[in-house]
Amino acid sequence: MSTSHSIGTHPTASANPRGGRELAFFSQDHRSLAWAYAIVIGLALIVGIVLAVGLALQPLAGRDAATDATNYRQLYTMHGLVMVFLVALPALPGIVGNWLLPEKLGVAEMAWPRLNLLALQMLVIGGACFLVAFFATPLDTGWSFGLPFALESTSSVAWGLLGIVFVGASLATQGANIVATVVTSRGAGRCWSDLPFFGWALGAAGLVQALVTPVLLVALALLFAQRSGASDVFSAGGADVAFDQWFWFWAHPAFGSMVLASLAVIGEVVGEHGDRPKGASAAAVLSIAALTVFSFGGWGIHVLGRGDSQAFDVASSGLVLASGVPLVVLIVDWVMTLARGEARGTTALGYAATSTTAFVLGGLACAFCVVLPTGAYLADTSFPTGAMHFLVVGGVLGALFAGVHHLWPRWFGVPVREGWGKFACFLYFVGMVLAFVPLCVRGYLGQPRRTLDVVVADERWSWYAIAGAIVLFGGVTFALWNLLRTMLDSRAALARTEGE
Amino acid sequence: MTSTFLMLQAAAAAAQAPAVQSVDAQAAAAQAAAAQATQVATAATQAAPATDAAAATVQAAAELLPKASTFASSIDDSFVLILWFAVFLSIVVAGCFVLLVMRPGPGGAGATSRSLFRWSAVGAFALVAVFFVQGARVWADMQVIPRGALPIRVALEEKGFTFTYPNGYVSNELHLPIDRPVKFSFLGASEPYTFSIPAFRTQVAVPVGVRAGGIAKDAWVQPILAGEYEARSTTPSLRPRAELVATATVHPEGGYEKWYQDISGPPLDLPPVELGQRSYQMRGCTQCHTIDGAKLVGPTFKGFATREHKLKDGSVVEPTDAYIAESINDPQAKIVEGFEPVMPSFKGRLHELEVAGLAAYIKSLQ
Repeated sequence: MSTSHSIGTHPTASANPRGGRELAFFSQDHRSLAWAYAIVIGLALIVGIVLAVGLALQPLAGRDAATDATNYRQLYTMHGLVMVFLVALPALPGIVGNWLLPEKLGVAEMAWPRLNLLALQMLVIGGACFLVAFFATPLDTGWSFGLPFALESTSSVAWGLLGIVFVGASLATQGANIVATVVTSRGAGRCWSDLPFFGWALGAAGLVQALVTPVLLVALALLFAQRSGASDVFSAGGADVAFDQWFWFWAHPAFGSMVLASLAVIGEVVGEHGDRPKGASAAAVLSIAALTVFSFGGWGIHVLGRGDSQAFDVASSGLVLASGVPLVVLIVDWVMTLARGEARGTTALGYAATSTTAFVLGGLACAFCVVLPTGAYLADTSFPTGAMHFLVVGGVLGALFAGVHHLWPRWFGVPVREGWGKFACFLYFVGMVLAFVPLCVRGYLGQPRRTLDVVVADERWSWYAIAGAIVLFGGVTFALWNLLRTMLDSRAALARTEGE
Repeated sequence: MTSTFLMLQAAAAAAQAPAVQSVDAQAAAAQAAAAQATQVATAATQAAPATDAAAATVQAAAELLPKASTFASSIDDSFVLILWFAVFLSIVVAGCFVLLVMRPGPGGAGATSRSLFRWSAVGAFALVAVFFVQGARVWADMQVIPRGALPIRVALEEKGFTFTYPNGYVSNELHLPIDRPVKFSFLGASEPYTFSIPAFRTQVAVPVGVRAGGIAKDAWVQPILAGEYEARSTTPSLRPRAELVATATVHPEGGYEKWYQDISGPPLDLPPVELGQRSYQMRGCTQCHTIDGAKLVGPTFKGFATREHKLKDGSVVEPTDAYIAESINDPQAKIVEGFEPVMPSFKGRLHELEVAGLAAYIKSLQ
């Protein structure tokens, strides 16, 4: 099979290096699909960020407690659904992966181009279902559908679940496609030992996505059956814990797959911008393998102290803490890569540094929630929310920005304006720290998550968080504007060439 | 580093009213203040260089989130250790990137040696192992409930938290002795909840309950600092926040015993009906039995004396004093039709005058 994938022979391989963008939503070409993903995810990202700013500013809004509480629930549900399902999960494999993976593997196309297109289309359909869920009777269960809300809520839960079914099918398809592409690219003179780091890490991310997404769909199917009265699997005592076990059995590895995909992109950017394009060291491959295995066993940390088994709590805690070890090895690998090469101070490398630092900060913020007594104390406070945002906003979205800034000049043939780019990156880093450290501090002081009620009377930390949200918003806006301007630059350059 | 961490707290403290207020009125207040002062002074000498600024910082932090249980200090040790590494390692990693980008010219050639990877893996493992072991030691301590701990039952009910004391007294307020282990038994509710007392650094998550009166979780804590603290559920809930908080009062030495004596029962020299009414309110009867005809877990007392009582086994009993006394002391003996045998026995917990008073009161209800 792999022989049919050599460059130029595949029927859908595009002759246009920019990848036939005019047919983006119907083309099976991997570069066109990368661009189509970029548009869809870019829009979702803007929606998600506007909702995030809304959440940060909500404490400043009116004081009608009941309406505010309802609005707040709807806001954080929309924010979570959009950011997790439409941005964080599909973004790196969809945009950076689609563009780079075949090229890094030395093949012309993804293994299943038609499924690749189907994955995008299902993502769009899933997003449309979310829109219905938000505008019909705004969904208010939270993105993680915690019981008993998800059973009692009278909002458009069915539409939300349907949306996740489509997005989940899209993610599983995408993951399986990545694995198939990596596997079929080997052979015929291309050994596994030649597989670059990008292929290993993204392949692992794809594997995790393909394997765990069905678990989410089963959990949500059971939830739907319970809601419609067809089942009473979640009626017994402790049903909330049972559902969360199902849900986090998916969600913990799914977040792991985000991290693995981010590591793929950071490694790639560090190699290219440090003038040491990356093969894969044995240590790096082992680290990716360890992270993959550990990610499957860590769900128990999300029900810490809620089940009956203390041994399970202890094992989960140890396993999740152990995930830190491969992460440290990879970071050492990148720093040494930069030390041996000649690092160029590009915007892409800046975002890679931001993302790496955020993984250190976020990883250790998670350590607070994983070590047994502090983790039990912090559960359900705003601390885990802050820790998760370090990982996802700083780490995963940071890696997305690194990848996009790395690819953008190749898409449009003109360099990104580095000055503005680095300024945006700086704002991004500062905004991230400023926005999410207060969530952690307030959590430590006892502030519950997902409530507007200021239980810890700490005006000052709320103001830091608001300032951080605004700075972060500024950073993202500058970055997007800068990328847009690069596109316009390319159009102007094209016009000049045609004029000559 | 400890002082940096405390400064974080102190910054918040500056904008916040002190969380700890003085205790019971009277002489207790002075005693508590003294205890706090000692605590603050000890913390200051341990935690920071003896400068005025550092001392003030520590004091502010102690007011914001005092270490009011035996667990608080050791759990804060974990916080401080991890925080130290979070700040240190972030700066190191970000610094490496910045320095390597600013360095002119290419670096050395060759591959990274395997021993570097090996040692970073060993170092990372040692670090997380220290985190794990430090936490696990406290965790293990928290799992073993000391014998003789004061048992208090905690439930989240319709109007908020209720606390049931050993004598059956039910209150919305949590009263705790100082320097004595307390065992909390948590009853499962219709929604999941947590019971968190930040000043103690403890939080217990209680899953949705199955049976009425079923105990879902046990936990223990030993308060070491008198004061009033807030207990709360942090689990997202549709209820108003007021229903999810309670005041936890740690009495100074001897204060709890005095309080317990006060609530241990109504004065036995009251007229029987009045005594019964006080008992009905104080002994937790209200949780399951109404006087307005509404059906809760147990049958209502409304019109008790004017009707016959049909039992599960089909027989019928008269509303006599003996029947009431039997139901209090041996609740499982006769079960009214339509109800479950879930009432705990009050045998030995009520004075016989109280039982007689309750019978008089129940029969007086129209």
